[in-house]
Amino acid sequence: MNSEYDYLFKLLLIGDSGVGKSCLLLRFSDDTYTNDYISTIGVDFKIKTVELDGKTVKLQIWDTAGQERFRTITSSYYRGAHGIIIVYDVTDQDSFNDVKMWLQEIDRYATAGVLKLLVGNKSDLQDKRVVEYDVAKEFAESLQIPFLETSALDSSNVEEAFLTMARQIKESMAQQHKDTGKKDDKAGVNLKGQSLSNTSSGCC
Amino acid sequence: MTIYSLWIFDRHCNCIFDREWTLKSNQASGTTNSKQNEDTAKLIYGMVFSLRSIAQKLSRNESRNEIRTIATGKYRAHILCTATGLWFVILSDLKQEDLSHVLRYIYSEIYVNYVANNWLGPIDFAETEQEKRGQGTRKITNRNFVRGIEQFLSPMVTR
Amino acid sequence: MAIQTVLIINKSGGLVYQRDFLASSTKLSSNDYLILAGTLQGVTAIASQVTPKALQISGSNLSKAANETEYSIPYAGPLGVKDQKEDMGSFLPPDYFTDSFASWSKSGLKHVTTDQFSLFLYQSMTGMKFVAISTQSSTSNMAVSFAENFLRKAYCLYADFVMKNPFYEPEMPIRCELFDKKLTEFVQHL
Repeated sequence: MNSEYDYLFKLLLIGDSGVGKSCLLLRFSDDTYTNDYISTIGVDFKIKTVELDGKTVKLQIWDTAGQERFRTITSSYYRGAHGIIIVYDVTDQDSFNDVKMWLQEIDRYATAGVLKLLVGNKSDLQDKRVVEYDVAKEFAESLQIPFLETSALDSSNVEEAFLTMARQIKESMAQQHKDTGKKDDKAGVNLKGQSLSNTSSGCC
Repeated sequence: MTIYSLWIFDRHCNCIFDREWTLKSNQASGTTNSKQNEDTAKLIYGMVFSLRSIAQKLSRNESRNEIRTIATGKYRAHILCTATGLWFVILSDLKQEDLSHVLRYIYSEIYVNYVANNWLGPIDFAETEQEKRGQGTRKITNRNFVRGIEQFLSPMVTR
Repeated sequence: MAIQTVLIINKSGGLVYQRDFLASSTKLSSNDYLILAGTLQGVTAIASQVTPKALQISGSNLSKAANETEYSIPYAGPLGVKDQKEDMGSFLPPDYFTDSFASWSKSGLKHVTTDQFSLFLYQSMTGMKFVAISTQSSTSNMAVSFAENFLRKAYCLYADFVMKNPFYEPEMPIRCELFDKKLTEFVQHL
């Protein structure tokens, strides 16, 4: 058979530069890549192969650069993403404040209904912490986004969150199939048509 | 015959020379070593860098597989990578199918004569550690070199 | 000029199809190809970002009509599919169409040449990217328009044998035997 995998999901990693996005998934991916794309084209890739319900799923994680000069280009990377992870640094208030800006970017460029996850990084640096867990938790809850804190020392909960996300994506795809299968089900009509056309016009 | 710009990168990923013509009708138009072009230079570097590594990955044998041209629907980039790690990049219109001889001339006749063989010029354009990691801003300002480039390329700018 | 590899990249930069046609072609792992596809997506965005200023200035003055003719690609003949009239798909035989056509990727990446090979990229209106890697390095504009003709036909095969397959999940990896077969036939008849 031509392809070694049944599903390919696109996950996007965003956040200010310097919050440690790249370190987050160092051990999570299949291989350790020595690519240095991120500083040149504003994106780097990590790939994780997982098995879900007997299907081989490739998670392709697009690790984007936070630098200003890539801003217009990174927006084109939002296209077709299944899940987006917003990362901030718990020792850096600005990076937390910018989360709002990143959420706006998502609304503007990504497909409506894309799965989101908020991650506070570097939680091991307790004495330098400026963003309290409760504050971030409350913020995430108000937006109904799952939230967790992590550190380079132990990033197993992020990995767990990624797998949960992959499962959700797969389920939502199966759900869509069911919806379109039922003829009399009004929810099967693509209500997302409006927002889809909006995003595509922004990318061309 | 129309060319749009010339870019030179050193082995530390720094753009050490850029010349962009902005009007097809005027060969004196445009900018040299412009600060405004800093981001564009970095993006061009990124484009060449990534495609160059793809070329290498897809190489059929052990020998180096260097990139020559990159074309979009609007322009074509011609690339020469020297053994010393320098990159010469010219952006031209699509009618220019191959400008490798032009790039070779710029390198071997103009660059080598006025920059490499210039005892007063720096051996390396990056001096500090930071500049060696793509943060450098030093440019070739040698008057003879700039004049040489102008004399050689200007006739190709106007159609 | 032989076709070494064909790749299909969906609109979000994910590799949904990859096939080598020559035994001698380099064997990259599927992860390497995925990264390659994502990188091409990024480079395409950058390539249009660095369009020379001279073009941006003069481009705005050009009339729309002039623009359209400039990007129209001439029809390059039936590309060796003549002898299998009925088999080529649901469109009219012996060929899908014989008109010149527009390239939807006006400012993005189209063609890369290296010492060993050329890479051609054709983009559909919906953002699908069809990539062909040929065994020869050719910078001529003739080769580019020939390759675009080839890739557009690969796109037609995709439309007929992938999109019309009821079991195919859009934007996901392509596993359609019929498409594999048709594409192989097509490449071998070139």
